[in-house]
Amino acid sequence: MKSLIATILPALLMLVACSSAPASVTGGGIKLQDGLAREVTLDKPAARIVSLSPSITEILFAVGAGSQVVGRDSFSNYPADAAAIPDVGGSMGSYSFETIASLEPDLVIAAEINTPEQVSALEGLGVKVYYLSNPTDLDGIYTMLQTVGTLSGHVDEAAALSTSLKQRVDSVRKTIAKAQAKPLVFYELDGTDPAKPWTPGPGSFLDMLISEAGGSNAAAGLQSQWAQISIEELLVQDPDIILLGDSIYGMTPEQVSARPGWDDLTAIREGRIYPFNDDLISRPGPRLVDGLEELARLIHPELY
Amino acid sequence: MHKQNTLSPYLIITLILIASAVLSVAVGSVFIPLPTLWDVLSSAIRGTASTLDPEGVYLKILSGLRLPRMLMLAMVGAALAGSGGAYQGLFRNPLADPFLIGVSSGAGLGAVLAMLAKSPYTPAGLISVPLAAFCGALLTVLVVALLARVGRTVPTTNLILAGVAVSSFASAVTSALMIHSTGELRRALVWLMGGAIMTGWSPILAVLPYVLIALTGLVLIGHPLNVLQFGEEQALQLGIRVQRARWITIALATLATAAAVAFAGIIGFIGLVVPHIIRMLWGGDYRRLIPLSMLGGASLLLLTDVAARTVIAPQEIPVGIITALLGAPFFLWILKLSKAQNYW
Amino acid sequence: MREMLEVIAISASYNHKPIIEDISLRLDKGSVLALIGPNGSGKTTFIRAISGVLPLRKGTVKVDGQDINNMSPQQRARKIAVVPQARSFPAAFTAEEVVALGRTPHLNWLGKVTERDMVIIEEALEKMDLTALRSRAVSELSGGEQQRLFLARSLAQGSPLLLMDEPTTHLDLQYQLSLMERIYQLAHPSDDELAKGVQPRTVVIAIHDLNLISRYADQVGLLVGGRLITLGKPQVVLTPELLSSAYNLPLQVIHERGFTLVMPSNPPEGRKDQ
Repeated sequence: MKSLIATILPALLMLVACSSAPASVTGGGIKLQDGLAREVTLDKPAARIVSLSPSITEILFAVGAGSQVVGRDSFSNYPADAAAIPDVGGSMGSYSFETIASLEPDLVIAAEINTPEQVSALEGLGVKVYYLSNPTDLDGIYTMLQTVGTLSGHVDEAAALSTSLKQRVDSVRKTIAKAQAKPLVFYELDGTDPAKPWTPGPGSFLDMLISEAGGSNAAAGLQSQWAQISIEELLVQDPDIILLGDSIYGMTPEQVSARPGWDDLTAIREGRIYPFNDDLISRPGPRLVDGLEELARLIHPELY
Repeated sequence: MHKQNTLSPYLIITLILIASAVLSVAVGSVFIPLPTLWDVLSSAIRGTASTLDPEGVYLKILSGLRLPRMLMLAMVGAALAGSGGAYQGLFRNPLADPFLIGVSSGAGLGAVLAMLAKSPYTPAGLISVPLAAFCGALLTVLVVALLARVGRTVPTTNLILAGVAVSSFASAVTSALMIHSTGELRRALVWLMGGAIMTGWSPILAVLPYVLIALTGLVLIGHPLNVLQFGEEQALQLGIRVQRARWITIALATLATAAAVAFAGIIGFIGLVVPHIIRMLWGGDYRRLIPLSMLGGASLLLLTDVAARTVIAPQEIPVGIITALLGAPFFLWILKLSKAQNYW
Repeated sequence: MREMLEVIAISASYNHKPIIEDISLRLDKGSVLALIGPNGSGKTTFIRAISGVLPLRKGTVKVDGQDINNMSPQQRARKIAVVPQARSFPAAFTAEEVVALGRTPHLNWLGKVTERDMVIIEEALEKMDLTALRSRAVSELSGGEQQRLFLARSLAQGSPLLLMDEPTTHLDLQYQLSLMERIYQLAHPSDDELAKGVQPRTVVIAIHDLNLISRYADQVGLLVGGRLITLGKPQVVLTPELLSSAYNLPLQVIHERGFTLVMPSNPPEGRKDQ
């Protein structure tokens, strides 16, 4: 009984306290629903934007809003210009809200790596936040671009970029349609434990991209979007191609070939093991198309 | 019980606390010099704008971030150290800390379950994590107490054994859940390392009643804890209602720790190290040890938080990592000293 | 009321094993009862039972006319003080602090000590010759000093009934004797002390050194196998027949210069001299 009261009380107190939180601003030119089902309104496109995720930074620059980015998270490393923009933290899971607040942004764009608590904390500081959800398929990229374009006042550039990306995607699809076979691809995210490397499973973006690029994911039978596959299973699957997403952390094809038991894999014996820039397929943004093209070239070199 | 300092220990610790609080509020990614700090705050109280802060950025940072964070951390530090001291008295064991009988693993499990539930972005949804953590902590201790119970008593050994068993189980389940849900993994990890201290004033309102009640109670339980140091039988023979005192201590310490952990995540070592330092300096009289530990715990947590926010600014290291980094060698040093003098 | 302790047919168990059965006795105010018997005969259990920490399976214990089961722990502590064996204790307390804890049954929840409490603590320290050692940590004291300290604590408790369980074990001979002397004086204050208002205490002391009791005990109780075999004056109980049968060993009793000494009747085998 006591524990029941003890648990209800903080909920009540919290609700009372939160009901006095600032209501959303009304009126203005831009009104969008964000990924947390909140309505975000802006009088005019945001002139000072803080990005909390490397993918959002990439998108902002891609639609031409790079000069409006006044703050970005620690992992934003693309394009190179982003390095000059003030760092607002985020490498250890928390951001420096003070730095963000002192930059006086019109808008903070958050991504799925950000937590509801972080969004709420920023709102508590009187900062406007838009939560941009990840796309679930390739078409979702164009929606992201459109949203960011609207928020930053680069609607036309976003549209133009979407068009050109669509063309490239269509071009890849046309080329892949000519493929005779569907090679089996193993994409390694993390091979620290060579007996059980991490790989993107079914439902992940990479899984979808591999299909679009005319391959099939060796990890398609696993349970979650980010899963471990055992070396035994890998030997059974015997993929045609191995891609090293962990090459950005220093993993090389030579190191992989040297792993005990791995030299039985066809891909290794035939030398079809390649490093891959993981940023191209892990960041939801225009570079996913770059990733798609790169995948297509590696999976179907005969068509290029 | 050894050194007779001429200065009141309460005075010394309170001064340290005030200095830590001022430091915590002045220092961060943005350093606010003391005169500016004074001017901004006094203008705000008077209702005018500060000349040193024309755009109100400092005020926003102070009132929206630093002041509430300072109060939250002071409460959390006091709760952890006060409970730690009480548990060290209750269990008559220098290794006792507030997480001994399952509070942290229960809170962690509750929090992770709430994170996996992906509640909507509403006030109720936002409170789901601290609420689940709080409930998880209380329920876990309840389970531990029931497992350890013999008649109307909860023998110390049973409590510790049951606490270890239940904690291990809860931690294992938590880890399994985290590995399975890659999306929430980072959020869970950061919470479990004390890097997700809730911001703003509303969490303070939620934590305050529990911490206030529990800490007041713990201060008042000092005398029975002193008598309990001679063993339960002697304490009973001296007129102490031993089982009642033990249950009350457990309940109060659990309440304080659960509230602290629910809104700040798991922050270790404060509850273990601070009572030790206090004991070394001013002896093991629990009537004094517990309130002094509370003040000391608040100070230490504020200071470690300053380090967490500034060492690699703008990165904010989860406070739990800093306390662990400081706590481990510090505890080894205390251990070395305690071998020389017999303060226990 | 002349009786301080009245034990009526008590039986008690420990871990479901019956240890003491059907023990009855009465003790007047201002007297010392020595409980003797072989190890395992139930002396410790008896002490724990009449102090109230061990529940009774049967029977009643009355202290100063009141049933101890009807008293709260605090009320009991005001009537009964138990002097433990000074074996394990928290090291960091000073002698003064240990004695001060004796006032616990008279203090409030916060443990606030009044002027009167301070006076009583001082007196207890003085009576046990501990005033000079008051600021020393317990761990720094000798075995004899530690035992005196726990007796001082019980004195500060102000309880009329003192229970002691083997207080002379581990003590050097001079400490054993001086402790027994003090215990006797507590039960039998001098005329000066009585004039100053000092109350005679009643003491039950479980002891296995038979040679210490004749001069210091008013009554002796012989416990064997959990039962009270005999209760009476030392000369009545300390007889070769009773003791030999109790200890399962031929014993003789010698009275020498006012002391009663108990020793084996047969010399050790194979030793020619002496």
